[in-house]
Amino acid sequence: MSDQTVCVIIDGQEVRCPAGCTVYEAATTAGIHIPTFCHHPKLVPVGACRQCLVEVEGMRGLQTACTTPVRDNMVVKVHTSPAAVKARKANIEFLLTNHPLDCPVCDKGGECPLQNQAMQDGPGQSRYVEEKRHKNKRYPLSELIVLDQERCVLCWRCIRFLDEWADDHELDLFGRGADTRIDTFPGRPLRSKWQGNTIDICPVGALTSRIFRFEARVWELTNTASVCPLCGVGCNIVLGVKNQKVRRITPRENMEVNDTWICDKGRFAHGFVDHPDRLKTPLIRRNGKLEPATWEEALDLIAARLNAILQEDGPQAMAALGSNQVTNEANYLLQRFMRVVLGTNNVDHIGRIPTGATPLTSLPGLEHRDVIVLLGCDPSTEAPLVELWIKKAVLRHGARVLVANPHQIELCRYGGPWLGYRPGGEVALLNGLVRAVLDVGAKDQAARAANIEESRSWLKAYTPERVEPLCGTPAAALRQAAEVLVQARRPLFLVGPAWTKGSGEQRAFDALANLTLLLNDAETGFVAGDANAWGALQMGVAPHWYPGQQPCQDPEIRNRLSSFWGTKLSPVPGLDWDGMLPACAQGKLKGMWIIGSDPAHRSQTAGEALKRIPFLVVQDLFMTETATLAQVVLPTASFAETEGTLTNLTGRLQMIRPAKRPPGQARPDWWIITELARRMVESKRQKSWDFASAASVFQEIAKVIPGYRGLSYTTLGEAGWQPAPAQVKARRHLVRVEADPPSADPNYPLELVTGRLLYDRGTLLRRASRIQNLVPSPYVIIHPDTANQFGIAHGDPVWLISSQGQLPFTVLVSDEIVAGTVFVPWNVSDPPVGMLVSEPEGLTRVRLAKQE
Amino acid sequence: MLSEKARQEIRTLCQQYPSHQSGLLAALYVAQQEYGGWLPPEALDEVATLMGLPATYVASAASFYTMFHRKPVGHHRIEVCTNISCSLLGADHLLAYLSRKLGIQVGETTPDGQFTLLEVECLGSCGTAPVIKIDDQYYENLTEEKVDHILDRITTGKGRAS
Repeated sequence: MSDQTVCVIIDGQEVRCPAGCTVYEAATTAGIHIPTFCHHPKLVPVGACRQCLVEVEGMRGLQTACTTPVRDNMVVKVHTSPAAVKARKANIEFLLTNHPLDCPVCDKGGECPLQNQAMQDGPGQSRYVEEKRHKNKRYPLSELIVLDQERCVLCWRCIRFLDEWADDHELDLFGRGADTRIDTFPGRPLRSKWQGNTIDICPVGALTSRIFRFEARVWELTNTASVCPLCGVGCNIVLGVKNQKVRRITPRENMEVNDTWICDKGRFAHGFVDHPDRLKTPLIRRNGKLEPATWEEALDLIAARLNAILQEDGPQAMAALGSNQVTNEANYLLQRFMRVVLGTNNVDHIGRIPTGATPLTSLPGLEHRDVIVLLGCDPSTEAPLVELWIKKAVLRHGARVLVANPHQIELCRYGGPWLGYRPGGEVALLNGLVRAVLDVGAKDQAARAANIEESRSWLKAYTPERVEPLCGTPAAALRQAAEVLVQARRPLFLVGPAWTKGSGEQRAFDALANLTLLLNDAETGFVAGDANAWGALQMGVAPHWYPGQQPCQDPEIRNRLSSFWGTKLSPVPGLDWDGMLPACAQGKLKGMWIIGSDPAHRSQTAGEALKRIPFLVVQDLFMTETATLAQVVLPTASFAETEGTLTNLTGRLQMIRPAKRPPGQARPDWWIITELARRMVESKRQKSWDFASAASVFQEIAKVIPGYRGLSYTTLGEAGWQPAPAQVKARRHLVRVEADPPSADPNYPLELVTGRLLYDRGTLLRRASRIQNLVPSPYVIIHPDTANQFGIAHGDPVWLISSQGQLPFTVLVSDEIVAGTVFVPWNVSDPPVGMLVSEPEGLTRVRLAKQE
Repeated sequence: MLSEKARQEIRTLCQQYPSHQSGLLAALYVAQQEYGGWLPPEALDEVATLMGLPATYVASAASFYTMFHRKPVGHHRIEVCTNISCSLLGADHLLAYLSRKLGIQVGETTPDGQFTLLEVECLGSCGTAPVIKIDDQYYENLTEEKVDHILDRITTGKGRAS
């Protein structure tokens, strides 16, 4: 489309529009409605349904408005042309001859374009008296979607969406003529993680959700605008509730986040919200058993026990864990409680974003990156919408995707190259790339580093050939990647949580900065996997940071916040999660409060340590493994039942809103923390804890965090608020970062790599029944060399053994993993693979043994 | 599995067109020959992999043409044209007659595996309607008697009727 505008006359109205746009688009901008079925604003037009026929002066016959480009001074008649009106009416009648009139039992009824247009433009009655044609009426395309081939009007929207956006060509037209139908490859269900979107864009009730099917008529639903809590993207969604139960989730357009799409996990996994397993009353341990109690009893007991610990052991004997899954308001209040009421900085959360990471600046901006480098990051499973934006860059603009990951991920399908590495080899890999970029690049690469001459000496050791034994990445792949990087105009490095585990945060980011400083206009963004990872950090649920990442060690900030909160804040450095574990084990921690996290499930070490805490309070949705160890368990409201904000992976603040009441006595986190605080502070200071709503908590957050000044729930609105990108000071010098030698342990010769799957058996998804049918049985992927070494074949049952224990798996032998490592998906096996991991979490080494 | 010869043939076919996908129909013919006259899903998958096309696309293309069979077929395939000219001259009766005679429905194969009865689109011989095609041979201006004669010749192994 060019910048030129042309003038067209539509139904006598003069319309200015960009040259090259279609008649349909021109009419839409002028507010003139043209009915359509196959046309969709997000898809390439095909002109298949003939519903948008219009008359164009000087053109023979009627034209499809969706495919006809405008010309200057074109005269179009939509509603003023009797021929076009008649043709559109006939088309509706024609579509309806074979379309079953089962609207009373069709899920689309009430929001169906065919129904609406039949009312608006149709003839009102049918002349067709013969029997309608019959095709498959209840035809499951997958675990999630069912197709009614009789209702289908063959508009191709579903096929085109999967082609143009998801790049999953899994649907197509089969047969011919009157017998044409939508189908999949024989015997192969849809596997795309984007299939749910085809339900939304189906203009009739042909594609319907197997989870929502017959749950409600759409007009019975109360719709609430909210945000998906299942990954860091924070897709905008609508919760449809009937009779206090979430019946369906549909996407809500936000061009800065998810366009109009959501992944199937976000759409179909809401079963946990209304699951009978939800905690409904507070529980108190009496005679060794957790028994139901009232909120009064539970909160009074916690207040009394915490006060006693405060008296006997002092504030440092207590700690709390917030969560990167719960709201900002809950996290903010938790750290406020710990710092202000108890007087300790012992507050942290698990999976904290590594120091040195910066948020991605923009999701739609991904489309305009010509090279995207994924470092220990698998968007397809960790943040699916990021994958969709990357695919847009690849499919529409030919972007390259380089993948540094121990095993091949879905996005390797675009040719990579795949830079397989052994965990711990991250620095070696990056140094190898720096060296290769300097080798293949011209002078301009070298000229970007001010200290290039001194640096050449230490970089000598990192030729691709020398790097290969250090990290397992083939030298040829490194060179190939360097060629791509040197030519990149605007490369983007996406860093995942796995990237910093092996080499440490500082070194991993320093080595990466060395590489980016040599390239054109490079940006680095961290892809947080959890819904509120940035939020938890921003809210100060970290021992060394007050809200807004203001350092606790700065006396000026401490004084300012002391006077704001009306108490003297402790200067004693707090314990982080890694520090809390030994403190638990040594009996130094007497009381602990854990909100929205399940450390006992993540590792055996954590479970053992938490058992030694005399007074453990767990606040969650379900009876988690950690909750079974607690003295008091508090039932909390889910994302569908509370108001609050989440901060997504671009730092965007977005609101979740209550769509239904929480089950039983469950209460929002902010209410629980506030109530407990009011029981513990003296009466004259209770005023500082009189939060009446999540909104009033957010008001205070906006005052405490410098960048949030002036924000309120009203200003966040439906679309959320995007902070200005942080100014990262570009380095001009290469910093010397040396790679570690590869670790070796003859007893445990293999490196364990864990990763998320899109569908797993975690706390929430375990309660989404249909989704569970898509989770594979526990497996371990090993390299053919490893298989030979251990005498193991594809499909063998094996034990995976670490110093912590052993777990059974089925072996998949594949060369899509780097030799010397094994891959196990997280949250699939029971007991969880965390059983093999020791905390503090670094790398875990394992060996294999055949099961007898 | 396709033989190496067939795979090579398909690779060569791909090279003959500016876009690989143009060689698809010819490639499917090769595969159908290899798989005994029909295209099981494995065959579609193999062609897709060889040509670098999505498997669903290949299956969809194969489903469009009556010349590609997605179910096993008998030794002889009787293809009855039921398009307009043949219909006007009694193709429907002929089809019903064949169905009765062979004791099978359209699309089915006789239990002895000899004949598969198929209804197909225009065979391009309207001037000599009604027309059927058995294997690679056209039979024209048909009547029930002629059909009897033709099938007799074939079953008695006397070869094709003139």
